[in-house]
Amino acid sequence: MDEGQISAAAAAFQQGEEDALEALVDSLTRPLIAIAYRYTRDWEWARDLTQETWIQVHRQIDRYDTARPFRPWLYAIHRNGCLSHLRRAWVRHESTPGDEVVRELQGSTTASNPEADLERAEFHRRLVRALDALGERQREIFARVDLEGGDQKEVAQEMEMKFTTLRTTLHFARKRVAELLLDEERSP
Amino acid sequence: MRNGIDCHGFRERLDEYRTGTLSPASRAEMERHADSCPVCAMTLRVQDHLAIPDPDLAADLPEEHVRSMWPRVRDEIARRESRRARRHRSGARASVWIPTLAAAAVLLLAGNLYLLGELSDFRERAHRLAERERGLVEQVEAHERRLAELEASVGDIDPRARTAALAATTSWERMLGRIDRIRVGELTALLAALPPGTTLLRAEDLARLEEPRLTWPPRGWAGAAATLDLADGLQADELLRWIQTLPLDPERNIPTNRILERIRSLSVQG
Repeated sequence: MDEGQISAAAAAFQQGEEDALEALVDSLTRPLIAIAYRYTRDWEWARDLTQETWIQVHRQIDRYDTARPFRPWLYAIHRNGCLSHLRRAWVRHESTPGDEVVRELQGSTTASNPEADLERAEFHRRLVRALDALGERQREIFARVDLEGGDQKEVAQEMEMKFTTLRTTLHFARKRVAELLLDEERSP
Repeated sequence: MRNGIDCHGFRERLDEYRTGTLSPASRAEMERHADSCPVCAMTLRVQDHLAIPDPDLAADLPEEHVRSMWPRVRDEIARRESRRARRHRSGARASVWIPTLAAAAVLLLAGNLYLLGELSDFRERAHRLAERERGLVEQVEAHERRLAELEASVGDIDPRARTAALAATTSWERMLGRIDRIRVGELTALLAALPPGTTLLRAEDLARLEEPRLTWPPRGWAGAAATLDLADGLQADELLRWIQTLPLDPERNIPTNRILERIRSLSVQG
């Protein structure tokens, strides 16, 4: 489906056509799982977070402005869901993506370098936690550009801000994330 | 500046580094800078960590997760709607007697709450007036102390320059002291309104700035030293010209208390 067809399906779903939701799920699940994987580095969690995003779309479809493209609205719900879900898991000291990956790697006979993989998983968990300390705008821009691999000019357009402003904000966000990670490494 | 490029130059090249479009010489320059700058080294580490090639991601994505998504979503929606319906049915039975009890409780409380509200409003207003009066007295006392410090520190200079410096410094400090944050656009207007040649920081104060703690400007005063003529200290019009070259959003808020604290601490030490 192209962007026009996607937005038309979303509008149809808003009008009550349940079949349109199935078409959206079939068309957009793959990129959503890929985005969630960038946050979690775990395919199971990525699937679960994507499922939750579709549930939220079902609940909030009345808030979608049919005059605007559907994909950015969908991705905003997905991004917020990825970040807030991971935050809650840490607060409750439940399993985190890092822990699950650790268990998987400890039992794996195919991991080529399990120690390096464990270190990467742990670093990723610390990185996503550092995002929590950023301001809302810095966090969104860092997530969309660096975590999700978005194009800076497109992100600036979607967020309705000047490209130079986005670049400046991204620079400060990157610097702040690095400082937070360094502080964590230095603290006893 | 460390090893050819500084932190600002490092961050400017970071996107090209990520996409692999930097020349080998520039890449080596960035890596040399990272060897001596922990923050930039960590920034590089984050970017290397995040660089998952999209083709690899697509190849590893389990197809079963994609195929099974619609049935999972459909079933979960049905389950939640069923749960909501059950909750609604049990809520309907209570919906007859709960409002009746609630209305009775509200009527009983309403009379007492009205009287309590009137009394607390009066006390609240009196408290706010007293607070405001105390705040104004403290402000006046602080400005009087500041004037006395400035008087003592100024020494033998031209009386007209002294008056301009005292008036300008006190007025812009007073303005910044009244508010917690100021927009970049407002600060530049404030600087533009100061008399030409107004000194914000003396040359000897600048020399003592090693690790600035200001949150703004981002590079601190030490970074400004590379581009400003600071032989006679930091002048307001010099700072204004420098601010106007930065890609700062005029609507961006910056905290003023740290600017004031830093300037006052340096002035008192002087």
